[in-house]
Amino acid sequence: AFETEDEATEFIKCKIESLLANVEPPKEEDVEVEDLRTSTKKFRKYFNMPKEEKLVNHYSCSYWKGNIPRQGWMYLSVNHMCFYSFLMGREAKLILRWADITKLERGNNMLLPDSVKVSTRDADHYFSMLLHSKETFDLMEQLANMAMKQGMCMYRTHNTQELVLKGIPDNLRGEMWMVFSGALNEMATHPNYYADIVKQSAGHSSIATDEIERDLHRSLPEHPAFQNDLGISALRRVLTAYAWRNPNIGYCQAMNIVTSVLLLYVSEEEAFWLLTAVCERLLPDYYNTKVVGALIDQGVFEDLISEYLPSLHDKLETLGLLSMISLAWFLTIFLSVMPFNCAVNILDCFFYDGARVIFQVSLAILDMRRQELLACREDGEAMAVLCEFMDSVHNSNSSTPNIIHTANSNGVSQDKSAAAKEVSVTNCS
Amino acid sequence: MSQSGKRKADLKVIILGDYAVGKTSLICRYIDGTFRKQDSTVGAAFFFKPWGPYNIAVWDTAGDERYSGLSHFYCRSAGAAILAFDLNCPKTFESLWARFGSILDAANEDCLKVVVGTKSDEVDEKTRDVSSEEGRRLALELNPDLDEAYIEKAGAPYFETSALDNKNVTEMFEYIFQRCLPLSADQHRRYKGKTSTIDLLEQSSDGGGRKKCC
Repeated sequence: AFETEDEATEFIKCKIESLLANVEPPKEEDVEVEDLRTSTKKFRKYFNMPKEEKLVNHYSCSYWKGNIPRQGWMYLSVNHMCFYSFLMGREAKLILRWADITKLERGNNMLLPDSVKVSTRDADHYFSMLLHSKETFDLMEQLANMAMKQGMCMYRTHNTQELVLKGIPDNLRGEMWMVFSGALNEMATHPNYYADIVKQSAGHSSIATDEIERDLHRSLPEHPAFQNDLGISALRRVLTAYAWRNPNIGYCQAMNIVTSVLLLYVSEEEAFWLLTAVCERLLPDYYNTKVVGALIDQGVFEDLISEYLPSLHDKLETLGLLSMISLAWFLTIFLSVMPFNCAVNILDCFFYDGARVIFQVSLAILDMRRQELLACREDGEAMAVLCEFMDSVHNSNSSTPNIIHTANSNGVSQDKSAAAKEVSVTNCS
Repeated sequence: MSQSGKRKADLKVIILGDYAVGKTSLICRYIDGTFRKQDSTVGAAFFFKPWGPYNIAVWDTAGDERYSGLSHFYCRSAGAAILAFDLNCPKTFESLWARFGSILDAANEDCLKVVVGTKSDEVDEKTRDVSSEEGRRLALELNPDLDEAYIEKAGAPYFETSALDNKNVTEMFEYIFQRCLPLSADQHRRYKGKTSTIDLLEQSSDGGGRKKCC
C-alpha cells in the first residue's frame, strides 16, 4: 500500500516506537501525578493552551496522517482533544474542539486495531493503537458530552464578528441564526415540545388564530414559498403554536413577516424556536399588547439620537418622524422596509449581537441622510427622503434573488439606483 | 425622481380602517394602477402623488389594533381621511365609529372624511350586511359641514370600491382632491389631459412614485 520505500521505512519506525511505548512498565501513583504535571506542561507548550485549559488525561496512540500513522500522544482536555508527535525531525500536531466534533466511533480491525474515528464537520480523523481504547473512548465521549451540555458551540471572536458583518452565506445562515440566538439549545433541551403544542393548538380558534389566518397571505406574498399550501401551512402552524405557547403575546402583525423569512432558512421547528428567541429574549415585549417594548425602544432611540446625532434631534422631534418610522424598522427588524437580500444581512447581525444592531443601523441610516433631513419642511418630505434611501440600499454580494415585496416595488428603478448610489448594508452596522 | 424628496405636500390624506380590509391595495391600485398581494402593513407607509399643480401625500396605516395608539401621529394636519371597511365584514364597519372617530381629532378641523367600502367584487347583494344606505348615512354624519347643495352636485363622500376590478377607486380619490384642492375647469382640462395620457409612464420615471417606508 505504500508508494515509496521511504514511506514504508517510516511506517516500520513508527510501529517500533509504538510497541516500545506500549511496553512501558506500570507506574506508581505519585509517578502518575508527576507524569500529569509534566504532560500538562507539554500540553500547554505544544498547543499554546492557556493555564485555565485543564488537561484530563493523555494516551499514547497513532494518528493517521494521510497514509502514515504518526506515533505520538493524544491529549484530552476539558475543551479540546489534541495530538502531538515529533519523530525524525517531523512534527505532527492536531487541535480539535470538543464542540466541533460531530461524531465519535470506536473500531477494531486488522488495518486499524483499537481505533477511534473522530469526525468534525470538515474531516474524519483516525487514531489507532490505543492501549486502553475503551477507557480512552469513554473519556472522549464524556468530554464531548460535557462540551455540548455547556452549550458551547462557537466562540465570539473578532473574526466571527467580521464574518457576520460580511454576511453569512445562504447555506449556513439558518444554522448560524440558531447558534447565535440560543434557539439551538432551547430546541435541544425541549425535544418534541414543538410537535406537542402544534397538536394541542390545532383546532382551537381564537382572536389570535383569526388574525393569523388573515395575515397568512400577507407575508412575503411575492415569494414562491408562500404561494402554495406547503409554505402557508407551515407559517400557520408556527404562528399558531407560538400564540398557544405565549397567550400574553398571542399574535401581533409583524410576527408574520419575521416568521416567513425565518422559514426560508430553517426548518419549521427551528423557526418556532427562533421566533421564541426573538419574542422572549431578543426583543422582549415588542409584540405584546400595545407593542410596549417597541415603544420603549423608540424612547431609547430618541435618547441615542440626542447623544450621537444632536443636530438632528430637534428636527426629528418637530417633524414627529420617529414614531412613524421606528415601529416598522424595529418590529420587522427592517424586513418590511428594505430590499430583502439586504435585510437578511441585518438579521445576521441581529441574531449575533441582539437589539443593539437595530439601534446601530437606525442611527446609521439617519446619519447618512442627515443633510437632507435637516432641509425637510414637513413629515411627508422626510418620509420621502428615508424611503428613497431604503430603496437605494442594495447588496451586490448577495446570491439571494431580490424578492419584490411591497417595500420596494417600482419606487426607484433598480439599475438606476444601483449605479448611482452604492450603499452596502455592511456599512450600516 | 430626485425631486421627490424635496416636495412639500399640499394635501395630506390618511387611510384608516381595520386590518386586512384592503387599505394598502386601495392606494396601490390608484397610484400604481395595479393590484398586487401586499405584506401586512406595520407602522405606516407613505406615498406621493401629483394632482395638477399640487402634491398629495397619502399615508397608509397599520390596521392592527395594537398600533392604534400611533394613529394620532398620522392624523396630524390631515386634510382628508379615508375610512375603509370591508363590505363583506360588518365588524369592520362598526370599527369606523368605535375605533377611529376619536383618532380623527388630531386631523384638520375641516378634514373631509370619506367612507369607503372595499372588496365590492366579493359582495353578494342578497347576503350583504352593510347596505349602501348605512354607509352613506355614516358618511354624512361624519361630515356635518358638507352642505346639501354640494352633496346634491358631487354626491356623498361614500364609495363602494374594488381594488381588484379597479372599480370606483380613481373616482374616490378624485372626489377628495377636487373637494380639498379644487382645480378650475381650465386647469382640470390641462392637467387631466396630461395625467391621463402619461399616467402609467409617470409612475416609473417621474412623480407618482409609490414610496413605502414605514
